[in-house]
Amino acid sequence: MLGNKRPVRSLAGRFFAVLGSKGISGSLFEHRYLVSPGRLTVITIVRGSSGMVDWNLALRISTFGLLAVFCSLGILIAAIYGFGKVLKAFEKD
Amino acid sequence: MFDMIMTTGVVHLTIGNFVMWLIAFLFIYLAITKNYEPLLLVPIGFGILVVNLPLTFLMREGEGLLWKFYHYGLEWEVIPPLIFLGLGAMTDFGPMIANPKTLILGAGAQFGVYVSFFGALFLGFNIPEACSIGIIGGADGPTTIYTTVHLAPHLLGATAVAAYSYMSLVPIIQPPIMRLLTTEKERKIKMRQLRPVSKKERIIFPLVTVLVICLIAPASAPLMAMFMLGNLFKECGVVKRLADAAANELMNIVTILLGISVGATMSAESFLRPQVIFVFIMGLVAFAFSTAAGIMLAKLMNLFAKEKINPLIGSAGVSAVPMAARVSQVVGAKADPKNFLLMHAMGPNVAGVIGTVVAAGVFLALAG
Repeated sequence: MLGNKRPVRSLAGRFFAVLGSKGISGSLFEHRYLVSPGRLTVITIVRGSSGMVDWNLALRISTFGLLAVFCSLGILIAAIYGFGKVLKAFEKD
Repeated sequence: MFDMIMTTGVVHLTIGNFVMWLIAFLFIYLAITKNYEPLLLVPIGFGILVVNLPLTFLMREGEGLLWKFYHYGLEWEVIPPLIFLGLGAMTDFGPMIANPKTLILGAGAQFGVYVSFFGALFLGFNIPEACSIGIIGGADGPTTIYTTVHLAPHLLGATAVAAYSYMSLVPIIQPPIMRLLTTEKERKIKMRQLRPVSKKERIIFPLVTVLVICLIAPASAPLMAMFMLGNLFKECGVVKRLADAAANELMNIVTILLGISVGATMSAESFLRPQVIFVFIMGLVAFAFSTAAGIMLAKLMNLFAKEKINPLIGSAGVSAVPMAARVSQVVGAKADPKNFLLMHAMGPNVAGVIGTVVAAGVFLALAG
């Protein structure tokens, strides 16, 4: 939807309408405007990037990533302690 | 006569070429005079210089010499795992095995990766690009390169240079954050001397680690497997020649190829873009947050632990081996000259490498 020029409809209260992209020549940023009655949302993105983000995927990546990091290192801690005790027991025997 | 002149590179020079030459000279200057990551910055700087010479076609697809290094070395995933083989053969996991709790600090220091991941998304980068930028916060050059080649190859030059630049700037970036987040009393905390680690433990560690990490994050296997193989070479004691070759000759050869391949990706057209500025900004944000998160996690652990941890070692979780551990030692010694934190900081330091590889594996699996 972003970037497509569409006329604002009379029932726009139910839908965001994208007025279109309005780049500032030479700027690092590009501003896109989302309009709903009584509200104007400005999205600023880096010029040349896609600007389309799947936030659900981003959240999943970060949550699973952090979990994976902590779990794997947590398991390693348990393994080090566990093997340490087993080795000590063998050495005593 | 005109045709002959047109075959020279001189008439094809652009302003962009000159700017890239300046960047190349700056890198070489910093490497030689300031000793900033010279093993990487010299070949990277030289690569930038020669790839920005018109009509040399060193990066022409299928023909150029540097393209072949880049294609077969990086795109074929050969060089970063070989670097990890060498790193493994040089890494001593003893301090970490002696005090396994410090592994948590290596995990905590990965927060910066995700902060800059979201920062990059808010700046308008797409998810694969944001993953490549976020992983800079892991302060691990080969992992950054490996991730970026897969997810956002057009950002390779920027992310690699940002990672290596900030790694060399760790002694400047980290101390103010460390002092800000710790009290004088905390910086003076003395830690008990580490116990000796047996040879058996050292041999078992790489075997167990490769099993655990590759089962949880299989996409990290190329890096983790080679890392642990190198370490097994070192610790088992029966393949000294292989361990020496991995840590010295092989490491040096692949470092040359890595440096010049990364430099070769930095042509004026690909590097002189607004996004590159944001890559550098987010890389710095990632480093700062990783440092802060490591310290804060150490302080959190102190709330529950019987034996207090000096929070300064938390900052070493950002990898950048062994620079970050040295910084912990230096800042700690300023508070108490008799406090020796180096070996304690080596634990989170090497744990940070493992943590970064896991984070990269998840990025590759979910965003690749």
